[in-house]
Amino acid sequence: MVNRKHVFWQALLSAVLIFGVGILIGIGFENSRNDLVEETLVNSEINLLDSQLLGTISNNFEIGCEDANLALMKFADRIYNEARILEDYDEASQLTGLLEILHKRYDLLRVMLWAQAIDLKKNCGSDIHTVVYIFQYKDEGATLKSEQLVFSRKLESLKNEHPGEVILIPIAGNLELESVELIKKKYLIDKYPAIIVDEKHVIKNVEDLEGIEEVLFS
Amino acid sequence: MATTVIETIYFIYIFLALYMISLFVLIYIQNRKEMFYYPKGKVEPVSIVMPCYNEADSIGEAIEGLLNLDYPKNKIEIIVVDDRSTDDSVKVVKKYVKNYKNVKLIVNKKNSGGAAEPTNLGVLKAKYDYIAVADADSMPEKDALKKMIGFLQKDEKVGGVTCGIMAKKRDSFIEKLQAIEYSVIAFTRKLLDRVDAVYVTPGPFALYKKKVLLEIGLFDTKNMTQDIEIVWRMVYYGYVARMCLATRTHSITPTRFRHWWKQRIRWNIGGLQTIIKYKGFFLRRGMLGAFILPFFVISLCVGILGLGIFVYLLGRRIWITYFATKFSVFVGTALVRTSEFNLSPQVLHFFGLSLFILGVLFTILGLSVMKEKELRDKNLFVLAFYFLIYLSLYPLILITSVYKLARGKYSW
Repeated sequence: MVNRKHVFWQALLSAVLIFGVGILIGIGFENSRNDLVEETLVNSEINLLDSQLLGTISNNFEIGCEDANLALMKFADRIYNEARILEDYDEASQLTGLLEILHKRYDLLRVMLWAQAIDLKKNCGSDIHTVVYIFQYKDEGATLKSEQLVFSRKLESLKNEHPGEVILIPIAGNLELESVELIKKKYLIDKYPAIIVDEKHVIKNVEDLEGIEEVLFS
Repeated sequence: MATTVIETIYFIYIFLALYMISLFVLIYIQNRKEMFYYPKGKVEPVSIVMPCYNEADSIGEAIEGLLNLDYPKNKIEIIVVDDRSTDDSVKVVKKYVKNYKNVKLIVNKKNSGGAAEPTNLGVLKAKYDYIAVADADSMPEKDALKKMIGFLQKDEKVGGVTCGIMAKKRDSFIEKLQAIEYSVIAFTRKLLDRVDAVYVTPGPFALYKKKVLLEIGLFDTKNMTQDIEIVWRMVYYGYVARMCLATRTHSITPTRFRHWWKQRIRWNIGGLQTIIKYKGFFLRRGMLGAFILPFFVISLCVGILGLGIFVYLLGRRIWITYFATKFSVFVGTALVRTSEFNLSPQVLHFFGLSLFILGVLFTILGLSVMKEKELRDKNLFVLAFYFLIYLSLYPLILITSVYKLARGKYSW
């Protein structure tokens, strides 16, 4: 006969050990993903600096606006795709909170990208369109999640239909970033999701989403 | 930490499951050489009580099985207690009464609606000190009494002993599923025996000391699973139940889903009634409060909570899909995008998968120990169905049982 008390404690110890090892492996696994995102982010930051520099030298050295446009569009596409990977990793992240910080950094990068695009439009009279998508990061209720899903679908199809014309910039609106708060205040955004089209029009309702192409290309 | 409430609950689930698997595996490792041990007992007279209600099709074979036990015929009396059957059960039994001196028939005054009352009647009429209770659709192996009686004789504290209850027929799909389930239950029950935590002496075949049954007040006629309640009461009185894996009883299992469902509801309601009856002993009174009761209560909570979370997540998913589809149609965009399928695995997925694999390995270990090679090796689809579908029905049965118990709408 096994010692009753001992086997219950042994099982507890064994479960704690296995569970603990599992948690440690899990944290390691998520950290490796975070490292990957961070590395990509650093590259993107370098690319943004590069893009800003390109804007400056295009003025000073009379480099064509077309090249600057192309470079910005390429960079915008790149961080849009990176954002999607970040979203996937973020949804899958359960043990570490680092991705939220990385998300903030990415959001700042996107705000800078937007500013860069506005500059380029001013300086070069560029015909690129900026579509800034302000959404709620996490803690969405079912209705909000379904609305955001529809907004994302519509914007993605818009981007696919007009790849060289539209810069899509998704920014989380609830991460308490001062620059984002100012933007929200300026465009009177008090609910999510919302879309700012070419710094002129704001779309807040699913019903108005249907007409986004008209707003963009009218 | 980035975990939400639901994820935290899942982590708790995983930990509890890990604990139970660790416990069973450790008990097995420490006792693997004694799994089939039984103390050799003396041949002493045994009264076998067989409650019966509408068992005309099987009772003849069941009595034959008892008459053919490898036990001296003059040391056995068989008492069939009919609970006012409406079929030919009494007629069948009378033939045996006529031909065998040691077969007796008692007919209850009115139908009691359960097995407890007829069993109690039989116990009170029994003339021997050891009482075996047998179902009218079950067949103990010939050596059952010989191998089981020693447990009662060698230890004063042992009040009852059960054996491995196995599925008799394995022809249909549902019978095979139950055969796997019964084998795993028998294996784990033996493991619980090693820590004095056997919590049921199932109806198909169990052996008791008559004086213990009388001392603790016989079977509870109000409980739907008198075979569970009697053991808890034994433990409450300081006795213990044992499990003899060296012998088996083969029982007929339901062949239709609705019969299976009804049986499981009855088992669950009985379990719930027993928990309610003994709730005051939570974490008190030896193994009853320290392990058996918490084990049942935690299983109950985990089952109901798990089902609740599943329903919530499913409802939320349906809600989101419905509205997203409705709005997508309205704005004329795609109904689904490939990017919506998140293929990045979560840590919880790895935990869940690891636990699932551990569960499968444990079941395979159980089938191997129980020498169920055919079930283990030649029924891969049945095994897969058992893990993925069959076991998932448990919480549904539980929630239905809670509902029926709360409304007082249940019957045998």
